[in-house]
Amino acid sequence: MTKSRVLAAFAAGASLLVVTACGDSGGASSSDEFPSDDVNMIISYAAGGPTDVGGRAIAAFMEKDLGTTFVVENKEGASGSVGTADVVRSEPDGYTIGMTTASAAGRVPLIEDVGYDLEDVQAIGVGTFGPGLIVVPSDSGYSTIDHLIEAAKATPGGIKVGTAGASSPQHVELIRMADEYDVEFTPVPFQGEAPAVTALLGDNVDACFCSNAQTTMAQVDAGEFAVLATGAPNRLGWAPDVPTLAESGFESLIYGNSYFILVAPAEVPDDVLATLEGSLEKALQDPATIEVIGEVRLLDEFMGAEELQAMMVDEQETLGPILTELLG
Amino acid sequence: MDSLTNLVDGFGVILTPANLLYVLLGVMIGTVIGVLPGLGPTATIALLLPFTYSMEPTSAIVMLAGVYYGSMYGGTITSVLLRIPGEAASAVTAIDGYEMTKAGRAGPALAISAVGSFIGGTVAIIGLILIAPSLAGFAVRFGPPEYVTLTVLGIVMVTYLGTKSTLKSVIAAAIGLLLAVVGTDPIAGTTRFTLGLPGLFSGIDLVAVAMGLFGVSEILYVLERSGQSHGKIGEVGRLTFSREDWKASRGPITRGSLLGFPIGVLPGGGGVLSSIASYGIEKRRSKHPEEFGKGAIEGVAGPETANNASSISAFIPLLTLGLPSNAVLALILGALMAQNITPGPQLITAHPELFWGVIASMLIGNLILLMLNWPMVGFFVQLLRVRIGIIGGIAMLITLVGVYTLNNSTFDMWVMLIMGVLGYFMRKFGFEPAPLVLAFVLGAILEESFRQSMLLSDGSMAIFATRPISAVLSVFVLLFIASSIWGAVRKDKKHSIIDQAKELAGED
Repeated sequence: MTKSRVLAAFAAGASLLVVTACGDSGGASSSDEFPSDDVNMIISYAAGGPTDVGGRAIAAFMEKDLGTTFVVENKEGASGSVGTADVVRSEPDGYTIGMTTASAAGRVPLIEDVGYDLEDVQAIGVGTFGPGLIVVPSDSGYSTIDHLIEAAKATPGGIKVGTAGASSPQHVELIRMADEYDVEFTPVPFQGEAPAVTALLGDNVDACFCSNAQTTMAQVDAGEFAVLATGAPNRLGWAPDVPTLAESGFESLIYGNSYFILVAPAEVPDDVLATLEGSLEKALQDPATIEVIGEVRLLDEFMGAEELQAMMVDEQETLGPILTELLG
Repeated sequence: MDSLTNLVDGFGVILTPANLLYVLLGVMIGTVIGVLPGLGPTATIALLLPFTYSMEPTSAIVMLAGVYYGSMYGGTITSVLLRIPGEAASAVTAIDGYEMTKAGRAGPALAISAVGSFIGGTVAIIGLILIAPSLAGFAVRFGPPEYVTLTVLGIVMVTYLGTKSTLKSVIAAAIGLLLAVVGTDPIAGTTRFTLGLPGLFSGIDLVAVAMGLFGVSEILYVLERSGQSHGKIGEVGRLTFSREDWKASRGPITRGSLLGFPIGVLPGGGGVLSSIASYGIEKRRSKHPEEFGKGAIEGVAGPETANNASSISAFIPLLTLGLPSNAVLALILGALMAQNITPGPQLITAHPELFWGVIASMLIGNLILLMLNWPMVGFFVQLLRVRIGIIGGIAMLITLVGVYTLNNSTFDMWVMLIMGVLGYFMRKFGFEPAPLVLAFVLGAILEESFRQSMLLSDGSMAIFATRPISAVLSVFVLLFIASSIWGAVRKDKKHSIIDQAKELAGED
């Protein structure tokens, strides 16, 4: 955000040289003393965005926890795949890790030839969580998700739902809803969440299937928007009364969410992975870190390497066919 | 008075040592590049963009805005003293301004310009304060159909108002529209025309395009001409104006303020058109039109006031709708997006410190410019002795580093270099890069909004006619196209302001 990206670029370059030099002399290659050197964290999205804010807060904690310097660099572009590809291609020693999204790691490779696949990625754990939220204006007359669903059944395609983009997890879920359950909304993609929220404020769409970005939450907190349902697999700790789509009759619609995750190259040694995973888990219990990230952006329970990797594999299997058909 | 409280908060944002420094830096750079012929505000802002990534968003925009309106002041100096407009918006000032210099009246010309610019700028800032917040509130209602008609209107006007040939503007705009479709399809989510290059998946970067077309092409173009030297610099003399000068200039300054403001808001409007329109009106209203071209102070006071007013009001469409009205504002849009701020109806509520800070900075910046310009004209004139060729190489290096830091990608460096070469040849063959960049920005919004409109209307084009705002805008688009065809058919365009502008630009 306010950090000098120019400086960061120079610092990253300089520290890369250092890491390479140490690697040559065998200094950093021994994993039993991890970390003995600077860790590079590549953030696959722009400075100031949700991935960046979460990533930098987590890096700040892990730096103290692991007693080494974290060099954070933004490498955005191509739906997060540019930065993720850089992580995947780096030396699998734990000294280059990435903050990216489950989507960039698992979904984008299904659609585009980005030079890596989910198999090349080792999940470390979930940093922050962006559950999908179906929101309507508070005065819309739709007071429950069932109302909205009934309206969609009565006039198929007549209810227009704004989303944060055609490849956003929420947009894909709306298409699956039509395919698998014959409940047809017209999803209208915008370039990100803010314009979708503006469209809803201006009554240009009837609802939004967004996430918990600041622009959306500001309207929810102000009472302008009501949250009718969430795309999360379970109810949210901060909104226990909001039903999930899964319990509203759409059992399979549990993927309309964004996971902002920490990753490493696939071959990273187990003990290094464990160190990083443990430090991430501690970071997410640290009050100062939680303060920066915001409680609405945390999972109720930590999701570590094994569970996250399994979830992404599962997501790829379930969504593979529809993603290739829609976007491939 | 909500606005007043907010404005006070805005001053709170700006009256910090760092931000004041950025205002000062911006208006200083603006004045300097305004003085230097060739290096206009667009190229300068393109070259400065990379430095803003590491700044606070408000500081960045405050500085860039300062460069823009500062250049309007600076451009006057060379117009008056040398008959060389430092930037295009001061081109008409050169006509009577230089005649005044020949008659030993450079001092009054420069003094009345500084005062007129200050008044025009201040009036426009007040207009901005009064209009922008309510327009933004209104703009929340703007949905995809309104954006479609607005962007079409913008592209039509930009091509027609371009200062060179209309045909060449249309060609440049068409290239811009084509470049806008590269990347991810906004509705289907699939990629297209990317040649399989991941660097193109999210489209061609606006900043890389603009830095290439304006910055790099400018460096190449200036280097080519660096051997040329200037003529004799006129004597400045005493920087005051008489009571008679003020009486003659009062009307032009008032009309210039009121005229410049709405012209700046128009897509493709901005400095050049407003100063020429003011000149035309003053000449027509004058009791002694024969004195125009022979050193009439009205011909200096009006245009200089108008171009400054328009450079301020040009911020309104960007800050309320997210639509840039000219190439400079397209670059400022790029600067905001690099800061992860997407301007739109929500900007004023989501980032009040930015909006009101920028406004407060404009008031302060105009005051600084008035104080700066009056006593320091002699100093700025000395800048004309600098050989631009010398700084070309350094500027090129800075540009390359800058565009790299944008996304930390060498890909954007190539985009910028290719666009630089394209921009160089465009200039050589009399094409303007501005319609290309604006069509590139607006084209992406147009396509997305059009397809969203079709989703909302289930494919019916009637949506553009049945919604009141888009219906009105559609009528404007049709009228505009019809009138330009009518004008072309009648061939009787000699008296139109735009054609006077084109003639003047051609002389340059």
